[in-house]
Amino acid sequence: MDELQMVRDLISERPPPRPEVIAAARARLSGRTPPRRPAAPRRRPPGRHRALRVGVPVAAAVTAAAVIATVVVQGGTAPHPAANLGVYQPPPGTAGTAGGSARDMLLAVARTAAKNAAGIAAPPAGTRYWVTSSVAGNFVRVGPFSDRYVILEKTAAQYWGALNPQAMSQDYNQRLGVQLASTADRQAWRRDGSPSSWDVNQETSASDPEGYTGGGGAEIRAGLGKPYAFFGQTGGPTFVIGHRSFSASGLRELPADPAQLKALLLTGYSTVEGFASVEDYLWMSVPGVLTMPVTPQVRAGLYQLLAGLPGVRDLGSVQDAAGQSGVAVALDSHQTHCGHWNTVSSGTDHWTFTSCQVQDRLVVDPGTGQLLSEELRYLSLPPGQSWSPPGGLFSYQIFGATKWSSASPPKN
Amino acid sequence: MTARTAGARHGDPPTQRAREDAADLKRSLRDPDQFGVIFDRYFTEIHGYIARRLGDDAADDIAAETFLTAFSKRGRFDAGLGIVRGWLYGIATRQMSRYRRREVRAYRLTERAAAPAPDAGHADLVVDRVAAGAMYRQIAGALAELSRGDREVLLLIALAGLTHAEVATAVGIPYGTVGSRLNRARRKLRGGLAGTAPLTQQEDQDHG
Repeated sequence: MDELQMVRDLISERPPPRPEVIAAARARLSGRTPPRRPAAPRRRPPGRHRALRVGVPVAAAVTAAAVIATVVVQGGTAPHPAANLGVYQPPPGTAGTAGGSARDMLLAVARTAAKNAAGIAAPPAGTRYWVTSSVAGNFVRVGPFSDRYVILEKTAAQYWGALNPQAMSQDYNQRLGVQLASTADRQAWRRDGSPSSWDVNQETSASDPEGYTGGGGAEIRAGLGKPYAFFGQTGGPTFVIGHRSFSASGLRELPADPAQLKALLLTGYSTVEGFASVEDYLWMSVPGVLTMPVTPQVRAGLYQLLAGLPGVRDLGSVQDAAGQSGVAVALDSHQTHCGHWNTVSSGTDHWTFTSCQVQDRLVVDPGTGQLLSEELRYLSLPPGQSWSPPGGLFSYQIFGATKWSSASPPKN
Repeated sequence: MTARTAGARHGDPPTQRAREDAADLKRSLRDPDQFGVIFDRYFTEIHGYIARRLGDDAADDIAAETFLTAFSKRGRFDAGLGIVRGWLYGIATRQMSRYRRREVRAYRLTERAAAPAPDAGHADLVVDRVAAGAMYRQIAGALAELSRGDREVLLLIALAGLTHAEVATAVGIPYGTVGSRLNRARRKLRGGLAGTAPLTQQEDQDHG
């Protein structure tokens, strides 16, 4: 008699969890539903691919198209060296103008947002999907330890949330290519043999000063990737605010009061780690909700919430990384352990910088109250440390227009 | 029984899978969305383990909480000291501890059941083999009598098919202690089957 087998028989197996249970649990993990990145880079099939259409305003669309064109024409196929990669050029107006009162500016934006239901009014009859799109740019330090350099990796994402619970909601992702952060980085890239792919969790020879061996890790690849779907899920789109999930219709019942919105955003905050302060967490959480199909009044309430946070700065008129003009507000925070990466074989954590001052900048269209982009910059670094991308930029996300759609999502 | 729970991983070197898990988890520090890889790999399995012990509805909540906790604490996972799969089961185990009395009560009900499914509310939990006879009732009674630490080790191995190394990570005990707890738990189950009641044996020092 095997008593372990008897235990297995006695406490018998249960059916697998329902898809909506899995979807809800998964949605709780991310502060915002879209976008997600692919689990692993896929092998690039031969030929050119259609770009995801990202519904960003004209200036940004031109920029994105230029990036695509550059990479399609010039990008090599891994692992062969890339013949050429462009250098990131910040739009001329990224520095901003001298600012006034951040509070006044955000309250003015809130008044504008309250009157603008474009893209977020209640879905018209026949609507099948809620669609959002974005472009993310991340600067990453790569290359041999003796001669590091920084590249900019761009990714497009699109989310199609099916209102019919039986239909599939889909995330799509697409690699948009790689640029070098500066001309100095480009020279270092050439010395590195002009590679077109990089192991981000860099592990090089044991002779390196940091002493890593082995290989393997996340890979960044130059060139335009194929758009592909990721995480198809049924059960309708789930919107996560704080640690609570909402359906599309549930979102429309949200209170517009800033204090109530703040309390909602802070549900589950006690279990969250890695933020410098409650303000830092709120500042990071609001953009995701601004891109959800909430009512104009809730959008206004969110801007009012931001207006009430201490330490918010007005940066005046700026251009974002995609060249879109808007007004910017920022919250600075002091962080320890900035720029995480790790060695895979040993599982050791490393940070590019032991500390940093980070600026989290939100760029808003003052004429519509729509959030255009979010940019993260190093304002200061430990003595002797430097970061080559212009303006200390290390990550940005350009939010495209959101919309209800009766169309069908792209086939994969 | 399906292969998943039959302890098929016993004796397998955990290295390759564990290394991949650790790499994926580390990657999720740089890119939080990468945590989805870990979620997709283990959610259904861990949900299944919780559902067996506490029922489907409780599993829906506890499994979600488990992965939320794992996500927020992923920076603390030390690949040099543990295995991701065991670490996830450990989080689930701690989440389930709130329901320990309910679980033990269900084992008791099963032990006393003269007929199958005395209480529809517990049909979810300890089910279809009760009618098979007194032996299963005795197993249920012995499960209720086990110390909490012994029961966790036994169920992680019997139901979830964890390796001893994974159990060590999950419960936070030395590798060698896993074997001693398992042996003690099995002894008690066998004792229950033999009709004796050696349920008050001395506790080993690791118990706690």
